[in-house]
Amino acid sequence: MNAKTLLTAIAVATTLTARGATGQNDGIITIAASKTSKPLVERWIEGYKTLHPHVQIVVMSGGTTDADLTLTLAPTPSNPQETPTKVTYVARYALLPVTPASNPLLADIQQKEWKSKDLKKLFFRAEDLDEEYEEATESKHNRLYDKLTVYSGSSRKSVTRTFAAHFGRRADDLRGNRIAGDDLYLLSAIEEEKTAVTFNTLSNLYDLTSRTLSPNLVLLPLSVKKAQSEALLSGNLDETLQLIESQHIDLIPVEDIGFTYQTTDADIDQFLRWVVSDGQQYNHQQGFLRLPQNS
Amino acid sequence: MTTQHKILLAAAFSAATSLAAHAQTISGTISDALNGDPIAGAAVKYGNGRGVTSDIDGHFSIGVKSLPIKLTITYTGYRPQTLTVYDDEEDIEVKLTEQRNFLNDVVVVGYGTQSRTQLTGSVVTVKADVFENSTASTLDGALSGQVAGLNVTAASGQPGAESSIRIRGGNSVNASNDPLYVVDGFIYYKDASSSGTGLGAIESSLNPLATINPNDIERIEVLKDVSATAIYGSRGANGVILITTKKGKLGEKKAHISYGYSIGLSSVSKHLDLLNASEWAQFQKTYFSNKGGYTDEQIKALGKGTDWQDAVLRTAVQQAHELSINGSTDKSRYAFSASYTDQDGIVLNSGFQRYNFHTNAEWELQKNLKFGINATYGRSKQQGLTTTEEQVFNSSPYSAGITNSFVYALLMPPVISVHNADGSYNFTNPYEYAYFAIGDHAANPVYDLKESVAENVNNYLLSNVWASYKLGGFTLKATVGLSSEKLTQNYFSGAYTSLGLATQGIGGTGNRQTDVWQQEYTLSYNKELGIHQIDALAGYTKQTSTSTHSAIRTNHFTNETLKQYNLGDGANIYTPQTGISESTLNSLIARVNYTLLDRYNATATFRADRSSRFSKNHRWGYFPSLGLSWNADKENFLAHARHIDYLKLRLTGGLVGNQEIPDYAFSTSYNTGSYGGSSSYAKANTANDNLKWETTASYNLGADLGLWGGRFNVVLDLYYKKTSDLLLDVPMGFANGVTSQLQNVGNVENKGIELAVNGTLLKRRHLQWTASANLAHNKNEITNMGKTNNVIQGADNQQILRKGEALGSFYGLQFVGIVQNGEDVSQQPTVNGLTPKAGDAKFADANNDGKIDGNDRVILGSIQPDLTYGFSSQLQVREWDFSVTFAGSHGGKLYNALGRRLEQTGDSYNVLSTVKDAWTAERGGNTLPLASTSRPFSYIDSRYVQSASYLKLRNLTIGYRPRLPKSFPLSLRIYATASNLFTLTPYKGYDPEVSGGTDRGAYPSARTFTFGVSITL
Repeated sequence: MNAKTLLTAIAVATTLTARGATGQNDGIITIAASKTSKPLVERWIEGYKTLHPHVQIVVMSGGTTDADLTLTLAPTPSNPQETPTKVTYVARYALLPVTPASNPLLADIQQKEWKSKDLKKLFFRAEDLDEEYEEATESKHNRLYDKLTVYSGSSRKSVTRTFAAHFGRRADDLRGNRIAGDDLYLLSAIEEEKTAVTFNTLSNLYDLTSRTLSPNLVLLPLSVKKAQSEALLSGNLDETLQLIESQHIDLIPVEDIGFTYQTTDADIDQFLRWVVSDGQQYNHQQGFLRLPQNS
Repeated sequence: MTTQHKILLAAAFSAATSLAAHAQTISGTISDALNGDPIAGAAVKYGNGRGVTSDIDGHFSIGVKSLPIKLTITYTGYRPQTLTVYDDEEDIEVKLTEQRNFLNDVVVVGYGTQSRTQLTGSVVTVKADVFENSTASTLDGALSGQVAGLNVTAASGQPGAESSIRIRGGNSVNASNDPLYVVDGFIYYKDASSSGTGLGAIESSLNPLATINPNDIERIEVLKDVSATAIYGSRGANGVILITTKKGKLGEKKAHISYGYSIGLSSVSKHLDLLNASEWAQFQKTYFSNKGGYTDEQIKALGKGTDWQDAVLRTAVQQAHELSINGSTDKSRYAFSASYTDQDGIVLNSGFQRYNFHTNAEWELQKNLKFGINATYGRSKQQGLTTTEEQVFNSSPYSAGITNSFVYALLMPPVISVHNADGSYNFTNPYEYAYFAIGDHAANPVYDLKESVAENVNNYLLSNVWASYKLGGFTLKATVGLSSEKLTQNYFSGAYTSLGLATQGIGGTGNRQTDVWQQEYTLSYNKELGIHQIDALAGYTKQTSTSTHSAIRTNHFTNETLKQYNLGDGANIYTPQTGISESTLNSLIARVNYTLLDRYNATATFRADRSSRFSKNHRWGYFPSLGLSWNADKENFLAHARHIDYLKLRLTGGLVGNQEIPDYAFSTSYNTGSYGGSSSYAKANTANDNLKWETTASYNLGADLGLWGGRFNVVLDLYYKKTSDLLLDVPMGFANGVTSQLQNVGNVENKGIELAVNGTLLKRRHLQWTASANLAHNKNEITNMGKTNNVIQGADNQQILRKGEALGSFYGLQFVGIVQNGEDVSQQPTVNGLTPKAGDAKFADANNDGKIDGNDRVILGSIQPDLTYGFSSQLQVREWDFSVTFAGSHGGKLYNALGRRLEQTGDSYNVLSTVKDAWTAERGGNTLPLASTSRPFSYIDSRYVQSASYLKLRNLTIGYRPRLPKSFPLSLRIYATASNLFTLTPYKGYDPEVSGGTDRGAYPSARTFTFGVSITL
């Protein structure tokens, strides 16, 4: 951010204030979205505005609490004291485990086919003392897990909770270091520590322009069928999306993304209806999965 | 808010963020991952050694120049978390998970707390579950077998009686060997001068720990070595027991209310095998004059007769109610408890009752300013046995081994009935002609016990208020408190009781009021500077103790209805006893803990004490200590050893002192009395201007090892203690007007090894099994006695203080057998100038001078055990829980004076059935001599210095927590406990656990079965 950004912001604010003063406030929708999901939202808006140019839709930061719509990547815990929140699911995302390409332990990582049990051992602390005991009595030379540092998100909105829940654990059970901020930064964090491993959405792992895995990342080879493995290790985003959409792979967490809101109006309803139908065409482009056909 | 305004704010926020990026504030909340409770006091470190701590709600905020920034969040007992903050769009949520690791414990130490990783001293923690599983009414009963090197010996089975607690052996002869007790940071001071009212005649004294309800205890820390105890300087020599009571837990806003009720039945754990009526009458006829004139037929018809042992024992009922409430608000926390215990003793008319109210609360009055109050008020009452008291002349029943009415019951001839045919008490006993019969009236022990009064009633208030203010790394704390106790002793023995026979009834009452004021002012400083961590403390404490007592006794009663409440009826008045005793102790304390790289720890402690108990020139005592420890597991060469969680090595050394002697022992004093109707003064003590501190130099080498993910923990300690300038009662020549004087003479050494292990054998969701064991060996030796070697002690001269031997060594003849028929006695040493004949006892002629006398006495062992050990295990299977605790001791000896008395044959008293195997010409025998009315040798012999080794099943508990519907607002636990279920011991008396080393017929121990329920809302 710099002075230019500031001037732009002030200009937008001035415009909106002027609109408010003249009573022209209809058709403005505010959407809170994280950095990870913001490109998808912006792509939807772009597509929607080609059909409804009069509607103004503004994307706000993920921390905003009073936007009309909030795009949520992680299931929110039910809190009976909060006002009931409605959800419209609009996309899905998949999580894959990665490590920096420069990881000195890369050969050891790639030599392995990572099963569910291995991923649990790598990413989570032992579930009980018996498991700790088993781990502790294993030869330390075999403990690749101990040489790798796990990075995960601490935010309630992080996909970390999805990842943990998929393996039957809680986010608090993850080993290693945490980050505060958008999940996008997990990839920044593992850049700093070469022996790190993390997980992330396809939208963050793949270059959306070249449609390939970011060159400084390597996927952990998962213990899946050969064809599935080839598709994943091809590094091609579209093949990966196609695979995950068409087949259930137990090792890959998949979760819905939804717009949450308290109330809607006609404009918002119309926008939501468009996103779950026509808007789905943009999901792949931004690295997200489409809603299932029958949803 | 309108949409435009939302957008406006968003835009403005974004802009502001952008502009102020060089000075932004990030904030967050730290909480427990499991229960969501906020964690106050967690350290948030960032940048180059900077940091903040979370507030009471777990909040923190820090100003940073730019993002990202790496934070390290630590809180003792939780896994540290490294968190890199990339943006501040929302508050940071840090959830810490508990770390199961022995070294992550926070340990309560003198005047503060410390992480176990930083500890240099030897400190053992006993958690609340130990007290919850025990049904003991005082905490010492629950501590037995729990801590390596802490030896608890019950003085007797009397409910509410005190125990002897020794940490790493005894250091002292005449000064106290009891550890120092500190309750919630405040010294609970049991003054050596304040144990009685001057009344006497009451056998048991009330346990000072009876003022603390075990269920109020959250944890106990036992400080064993000098690095830990030196902060208590003058009173640290015998170890320190820090008691922390339960408090409301911060963040738990819902009040926890629990109620517990238990009821139990107790019975004697062992019966002595005495002769029954037939056996006793036959015995009398065979060996003595057959006073009863029984024919053989009549003897056979007597059968079992009266079992006097059973007649004075009973199945006793005990019950307890407990109510506790604790919780917290945003700025305060509180705990309150009320309890009532009513425990009947297994001997008639004995028991213990206690009401106890305890509260513990603190408030955060303003930011950084806290205020707290701890208060315990209660009343305990103990009904014990009257004692015949030790007399200095030979003809007293005490010197003949009849110490109280319970012992007298064991001696009663079984041909004598308790009651007459009309139901009245039987006061006729033709066999009693020695001590307890006057004219036609003989004492009846059942009547004695039922009608005599021997009460200790203690009303106590332990209270303190404190305030602390935190300023940066500094914390200033001031505490003022009062420990006030009013002890009343009541005593009455009517004209038909053993003790009242000669005086037509005797009674008395005594009071002691003890007020101990304490003030403590401390300044502590805590700072982390990168790899350095400093925790420093300095302070001043003052203690003022005033104790007054008064006692009056009268005899010759004409009306016993109101007993001790009508002492004016006694025609004869003893000289009233009154007195006052005052002492002060001023102390300066200082301690610095330094930790480098979380690996290397040092603790330097210094305390200077000024005690009024010593002569003017020697009042100051200086007690320094230094402790070092090394967390070796954090070194590179161990960092990847997967099976090792932690390995710590500790080394400490320093000086501590002992001032637990009576007030004014350095000065000349006189006892008042009356003589010929006028007052008289008798010299009680002669001045010693050189009386000074007893000091103990102590060294400890220890290791803490944790293996397999917290599954197995080992603590090993080696120690050496040398006590110098021993406070010893040295015999004085007649010219001094006193028999002895307290002087600083000699040295005592204790050296030993302690091992404690605990392990989690299984831990699954519905199955948990833990076990712990400890073992300790201590060698005690008097290494110097100055010019006063060989001080003989005890009513039977049974113990000796001798250089090269242990404290509490027994001294007597070595029994070698019985002279048999036809044995050549010409070579036998003579006894009292006579050659022994067949049927006489033989003793070793230790000095080979051909005669048996006092010079043939040898050391027969000591009260010091070679090994003490304990084992406990807990198992939880779904809703069921089981726990078991064993405690044992090996190698110690006990003088069985009761056994000696009960194997002494005669025509008055009953005897043990072992006497049936006494030597006779026909069948021989090699243990007891031919039965006769001869009194035993005036010196004790090895037959009655018996092994006090034992293994006891202290506690066996089974509990059940039924699954209640979730709509039920409470949880429930039902349990059953067996205490003292069995004792394996070669000891021939009731119980090998008798403090002091002499069993004169101590109140027998009980086996108790308790059933209880606890309800928590």
